[in-house]
Amino acid sequence: MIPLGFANKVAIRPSRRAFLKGATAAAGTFVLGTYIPFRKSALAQTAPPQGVFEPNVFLKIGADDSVTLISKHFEMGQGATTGLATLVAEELEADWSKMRFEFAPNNAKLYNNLVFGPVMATGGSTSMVNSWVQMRQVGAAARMMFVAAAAEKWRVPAAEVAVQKGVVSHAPSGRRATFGELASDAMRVPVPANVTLKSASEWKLIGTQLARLDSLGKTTGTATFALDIRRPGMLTAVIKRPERFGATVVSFDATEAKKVDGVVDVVQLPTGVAVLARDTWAAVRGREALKVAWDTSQAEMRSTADILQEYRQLIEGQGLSAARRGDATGRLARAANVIEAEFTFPYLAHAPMEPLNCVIEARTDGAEIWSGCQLQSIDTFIAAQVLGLKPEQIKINTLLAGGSFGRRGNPVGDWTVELASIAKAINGRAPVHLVWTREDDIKGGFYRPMVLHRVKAGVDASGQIAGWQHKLVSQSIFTGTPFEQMAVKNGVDHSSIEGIADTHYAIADLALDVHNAKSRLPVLWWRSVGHSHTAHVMETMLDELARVAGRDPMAFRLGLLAQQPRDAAVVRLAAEKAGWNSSLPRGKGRGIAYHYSFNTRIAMVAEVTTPPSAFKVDRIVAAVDCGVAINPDIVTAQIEGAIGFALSSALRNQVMLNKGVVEQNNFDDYEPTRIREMPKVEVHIVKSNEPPSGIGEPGVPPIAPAIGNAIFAATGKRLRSLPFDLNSLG
Amino acid sequence: MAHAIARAPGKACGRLGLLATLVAMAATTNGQAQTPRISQAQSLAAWDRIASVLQHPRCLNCHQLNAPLQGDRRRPHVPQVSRGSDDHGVSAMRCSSCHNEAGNNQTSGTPGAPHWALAPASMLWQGLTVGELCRMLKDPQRNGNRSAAALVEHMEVDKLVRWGWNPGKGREAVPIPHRDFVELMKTWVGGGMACPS
Amino acid sequence: MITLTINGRTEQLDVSPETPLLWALRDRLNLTGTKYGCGRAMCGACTVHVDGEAARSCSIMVGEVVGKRITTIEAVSGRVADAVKLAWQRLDVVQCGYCQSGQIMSAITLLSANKRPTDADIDASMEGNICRCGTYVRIRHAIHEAAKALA
Repeated sequence: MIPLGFANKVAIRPSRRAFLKGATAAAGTFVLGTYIPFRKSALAQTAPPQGVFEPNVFLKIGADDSVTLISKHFEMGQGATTGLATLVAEELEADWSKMRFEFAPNNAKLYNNLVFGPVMATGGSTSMVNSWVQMRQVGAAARMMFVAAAAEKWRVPAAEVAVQKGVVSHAPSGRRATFGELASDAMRVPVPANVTLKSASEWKLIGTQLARLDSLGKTTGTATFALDIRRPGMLTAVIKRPERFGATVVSFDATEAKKVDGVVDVVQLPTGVAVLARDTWAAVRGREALKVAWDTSQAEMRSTADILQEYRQLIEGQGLSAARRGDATGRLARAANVIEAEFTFPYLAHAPMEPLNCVIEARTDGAEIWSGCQLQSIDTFIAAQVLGLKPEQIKINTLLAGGSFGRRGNPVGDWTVELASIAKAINGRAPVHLVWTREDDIKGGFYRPMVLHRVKAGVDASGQIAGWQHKLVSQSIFTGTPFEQMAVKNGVDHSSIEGIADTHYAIADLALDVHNAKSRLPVLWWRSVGHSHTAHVMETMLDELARVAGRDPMAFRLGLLAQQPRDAAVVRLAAEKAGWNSSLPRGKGRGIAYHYSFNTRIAMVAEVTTPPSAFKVDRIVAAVDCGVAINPDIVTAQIEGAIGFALSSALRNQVMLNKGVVEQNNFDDYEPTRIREMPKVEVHIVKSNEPPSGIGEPGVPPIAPAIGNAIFAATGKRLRSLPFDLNSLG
Repeated sequence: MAHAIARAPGKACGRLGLLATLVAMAATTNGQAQTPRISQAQSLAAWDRIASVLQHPRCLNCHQLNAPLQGDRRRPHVPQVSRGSDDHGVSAMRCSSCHNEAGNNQTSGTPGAPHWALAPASMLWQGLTVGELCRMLKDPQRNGNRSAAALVEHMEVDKLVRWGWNPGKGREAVPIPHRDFVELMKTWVGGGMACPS
Repeated sequence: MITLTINGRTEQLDVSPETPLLWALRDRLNLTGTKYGCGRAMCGACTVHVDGEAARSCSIMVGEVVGKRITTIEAVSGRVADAVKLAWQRLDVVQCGYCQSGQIMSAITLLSANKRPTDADIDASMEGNICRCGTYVRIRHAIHEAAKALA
């Protein structure tokens, strides 16, 4: 019998760094067999209710014929639960209308992300990538077990048993049974060790526009988020944190806070002081009355201008060499045209619609957490550590998350630490719901880093890049986290530089140096991480180089992608669908940007209207190659959504510090995109049979540069730094 | 204070009129009359201070053409709202969608007062000079058909006007105390509603 | 004691008149379909109906709505509500879904007053509802779809 791991090669990346480098699949390096579902040893201790197909680690089949996917990935809107269910349903031959989902318990042995290794986690646009083979195997194995169960029950050859839309049948005898009717019999069948998956031509569900599984709950107010959890006797807690990152509590006076009706207790934590109350409003008002004295001696005290000035000093010095190839200096010296440019990028907040919040019931022998949990392994470990428990004693109930964009997945588990700390401070005497207000969220740090880039790039007469010298200053996201070893090599954090040296453009002579800035202000991955700034620099520079070389920006890019047919195809498609060569009225302009990230290729053409008319992004045409588009509508939605999400960061968002204090407060001064600003969006998906690549993040990087390039086309004004200084357009 | 010669009521000519004029003059000179006459200059001076109230963000923010301004910074209202057909906003974005007639909301920070809405378009004050504002305010065609007395009463008792002096946290109240403002209104009216050119 | 009429029921709440309607709904009555997003009437996640008109419950005090008809996402019904919810489902508008209760409540108010809203009408009326996942293209499309279905 051939173990599954060898029968079906899967792109498994044992280390995140290897993943980030885009390593191709290593044949047979990872035995999926360890993670085959239905292993009885991996099962829950309690006997399952009669009829539910409980042995399956990833599926539950009910007597009502419902097929519930037990999703190892959380759902923050990206459609992972629908995607995973699609893969299962395809091979299982399930009736899509009977598919459901629920979230898996926090068990990394069973529910790990196969890209990350022994870690249960969602992120890095890897959900479909790592589940692509596994979930189909789950469905295929289950189907075979139903066939075997029917064959045995009806005493007919298995080869004569068919499965279609949740119904098992034997045509010659006319026997038939639904999944629900056969579930308990199927449970007794040994798990097949060898499954064959359908070929692409046999797909009925994959590649089609299936309805999302979470639409109903989310359109009727019945979907449950962490903020909606109610436990008996629960107290709601809000934390007074310092205004300045790195400040600590000296003392606090809770006298007035405790007078607020509904306030129950005030306790000190490592990171601040928590007010616990009977309900949310009382807790917030209690906190307003709380007085805390802070020690700011170790805190970040600089203003944004100070930080930028220090960045500019740093960048003049000797940096860490991140990439060297060819002879950038030599080629630049001989280049026909050279452009030197500086780009700055501000701190950005994730600002998910559901602010961070989580619930805990802590006992001496264990704790139970409810949370829109993104990194179950991290949060399990962190909670155990704070509470002095073993990880096995922590149960995490993952819930739907009201957005994340990276915030809910913190490698240092900041909000879980806070939650556990409160439970510890009150000796677990009541369930606790920790709630972050919107102000806490905007001011709470863990931003996309502030970054400074300086590039000197040349172009020669034939339209080839003639040298690329690139320096940047950024805080490292991974230093000081459990992922440091994987992501930081020789002092260089890969997430600071991704998208530059690994570009698919032909840049033969390149020198990349990095300077690590330090601050007590914590930083985090923000949807598309390093690509959120590197793509803008690359695509703006290329546009400028094209112009100075007298070439059409689209053709110029194609010239540099001559050895990259999939990339070039995407650029061509976007340009064609956007009518690249058609003219626009005066005051309007068109710009193109292309970027490769998370193994996905995406080009965008933006059209803008510029002053004297009110500035508007009118239209964005996107072309994407993400391998097999498991659900094209979800792929489209992710790109539409990336535009809606990132538009405001291109146009206005920034978190600014004034002597270390964040100036922004809420959605009025950190204003997300509004519906009136949303351009028309057209998404064209390249038909592909390659395994799926990520789509949650790749839509973000090309947005700002496509818009910037369009602004240049319309006005002749080059806006480099973000957010765009639209006032300078007149 | 300038001492202009006050006009006695009724005719200035004739013996009775002359006597009345003399009494009035004496009163002006002494400043101890039962009913002091307010000079045009006093009226003008009062208007200058009244204008500073009307142009204060608490008032001017809603005396706009199509959309209110917001805050002491007078920024465009966030989220964007517009007048609509009845001065109270458009569907699903009504003033009352967020603003309480009962008063300011300390929790959300939204200000509130009875009949919270944009001032009628006829009472557009944004962009007017102090003189133009003055002429608009005293013109019944453009001040809600109010007589001088009604105008004073409006400023004195209207709850939305008075909100300007109790606007909630984070908003500067009108700096001139309300009682003084009402006196200024009376002075302005009493002195003939003088307007600068 | 404050008496409110919520989803057709009379509710007696031991709360002060300044209590935000949002927290009365969520924390006292366990009506959690209405969401907290900003607490300052900036985002619309808290949108309910007061006498059929969209209102930001985070900014409306319970004292303000005594004697008025309050409706939340859990109970909103009728031709327009059904058409809106159906359009939202058919077009798979939602992503994370957290803002969508508010979006739907605002859309129902819009379509109840305006049977054939233009894009500009939609922009103006839906302005107060933020979606961080960026589902605006589909929100607009769904409102047009619902309008067609109601015609």
